[in-house]
Amino acid sequence: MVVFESLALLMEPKTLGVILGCAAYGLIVGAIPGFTATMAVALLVPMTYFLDPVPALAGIVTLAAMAIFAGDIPGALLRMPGTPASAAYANESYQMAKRGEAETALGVGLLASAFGGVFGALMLIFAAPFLAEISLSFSSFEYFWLACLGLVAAIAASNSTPAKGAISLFIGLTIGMVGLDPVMGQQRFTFGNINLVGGLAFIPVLIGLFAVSEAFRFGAKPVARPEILPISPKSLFTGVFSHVRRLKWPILRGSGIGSIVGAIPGAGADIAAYISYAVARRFSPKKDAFGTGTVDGIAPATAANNAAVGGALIPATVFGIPGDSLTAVIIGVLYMKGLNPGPTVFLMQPTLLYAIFIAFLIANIVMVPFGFGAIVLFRRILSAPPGVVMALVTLACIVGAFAVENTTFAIFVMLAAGLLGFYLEENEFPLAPVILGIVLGPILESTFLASLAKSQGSFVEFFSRPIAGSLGAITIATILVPLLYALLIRRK
Amino acid sequence: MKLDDLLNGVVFLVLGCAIVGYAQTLPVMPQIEYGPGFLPSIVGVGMALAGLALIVARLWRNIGAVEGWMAFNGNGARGVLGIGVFLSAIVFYTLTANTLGFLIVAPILLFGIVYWFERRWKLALGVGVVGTLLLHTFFYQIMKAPLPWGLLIDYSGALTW
Repeated sequence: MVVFESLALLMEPKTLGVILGCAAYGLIVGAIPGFTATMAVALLVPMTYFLDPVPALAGIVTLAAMAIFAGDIPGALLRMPGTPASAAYANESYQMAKRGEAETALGVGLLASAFGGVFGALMLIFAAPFLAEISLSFSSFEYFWLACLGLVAAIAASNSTPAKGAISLFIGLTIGMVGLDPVMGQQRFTFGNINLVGGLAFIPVLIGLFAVSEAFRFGAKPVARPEILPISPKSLFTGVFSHVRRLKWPILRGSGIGSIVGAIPGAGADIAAYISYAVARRFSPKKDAFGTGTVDGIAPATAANNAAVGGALIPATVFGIPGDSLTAVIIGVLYMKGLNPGPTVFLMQPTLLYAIFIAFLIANIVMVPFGFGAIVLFRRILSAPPGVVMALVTLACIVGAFAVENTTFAIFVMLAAGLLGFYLEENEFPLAPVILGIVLGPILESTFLASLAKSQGSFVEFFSRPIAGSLGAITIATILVPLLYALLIRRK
Repeated sequence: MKLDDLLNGVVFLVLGCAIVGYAQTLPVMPQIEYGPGFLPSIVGVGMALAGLALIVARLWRNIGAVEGWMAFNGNGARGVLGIGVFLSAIVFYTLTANTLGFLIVAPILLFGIVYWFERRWKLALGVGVVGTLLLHTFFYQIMKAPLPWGLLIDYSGALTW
């Protein structure tokens, strides 16, 4: 029985220790405004390099689940969402906290998050193998279009202009091309530097883009923290259950929306939360209360962003196509651990994969007591002097980049990526397409060239297979429809 | 450092063209139409076109205009120095870690950053010592990452706990 073997893998003391450590780490980093869940994962990746696949990936998915919830806490008490995923309803919960109802906002949010997370995990456990079975018939044509769709959707989903999203993507693709080309083994963009022949290492680039850039931003303008609104942990669960019971259908709907939106390549937890919030408002009998601070808006949206993490893991594990920057990192780690994502991993290494899925399910359940602890300790977490946190983050970045590659060159790569990330964010270029470009670029190139070789140079086959044709049509529509829509609006 | 989108557009227009130019120098494989230069050419053209789109949007609709071509979103000169602190910390580590060793360079680095931002020397000293020990324990002793010993190589046995 795969499930029992997977459970046995998870019950090893080392794995349990890693999961608990990552849960605490995710809650702390997620609760600090300005630190994103991706940054938390980026800093963790070099540590997972030295771990076995199951504890490494179980730790990362646990961290992702916790960081998304923890972002709600500063959203309510400081009006500063800890991660972008909490932005949709940060004002709603802040208004409640201002009225002295922070306990209700966070208590309902915690239970709804856990429910959404469990829903997303179950979707992942049941839908992923089903999809994997279908995708066994996929050839390079389908994978080419899936990679294209992931890249195009990443631009469409970024909250910047399409031109800036595209530039980010092309930067990522260029970074991914450094080294030997996947078909001929020809050196590209190496400029005679022997360190570049093996390509730019993923981990130093990742740490630079998401963590070192954060340090530069902090250096330019240390974040001033506003007054924390009061909260009484004792009454955290008073009246919370009646709200959850009343809102069970909106929470379920939010979870459904979250896991579907999360599974769309390119869309992520933040978009899922916005859509779920808008849908909840549309169908709520208390429409007028939205915006003034109501749990009716918070619960479905926070359920959606947690469900989206599980949803995003579906295309990530089945096709190797990331849903957002967080899953792009997870895919990078899957490759690093030899668990190359794709339908065959469900056949070859089901025990390992299910252990990771079950860890994600468990993480969403233990989120309730751990999240409770994070809410209680929030004031203490924020009392850590930011200069100290940033100094430790910087040293961890340096050591992390060095430890994985074992060369000083990796630290220079990290520094360059940090400066690039800082420049991009300051100029409103989104970072997610960069990381997607790095992960998907080599897949795109090798599937494209393999497909052309199979079809003897004919492009017709890219559209003549039913699934490939549909995926191609969706990809092209994702590019053309917004362009045509913008043209039509301007005509009017 | 926020640049005017006209400058950003020019940067990526030029970079895109440079990538296309570089792709042309990559060898062509006999009998294979799409060689190593194929994807770089597409990426270069795409980047140049997107750069052009930024320029057009800036000139026609004034999107992304910045007064004086560039703006610094930070605390003036102190902000620039703040970035410099992190930049020089990383460069300092790469230049000295192999000769001096992690256990000497890391506390200096931590002390410098914490003191710059918090102005409390006792706190900076404490973080320097405790932070170094924690990271060394985790990466060197538990994860077996080969952090450099430098000057302390002769004492590496005594300093490994």
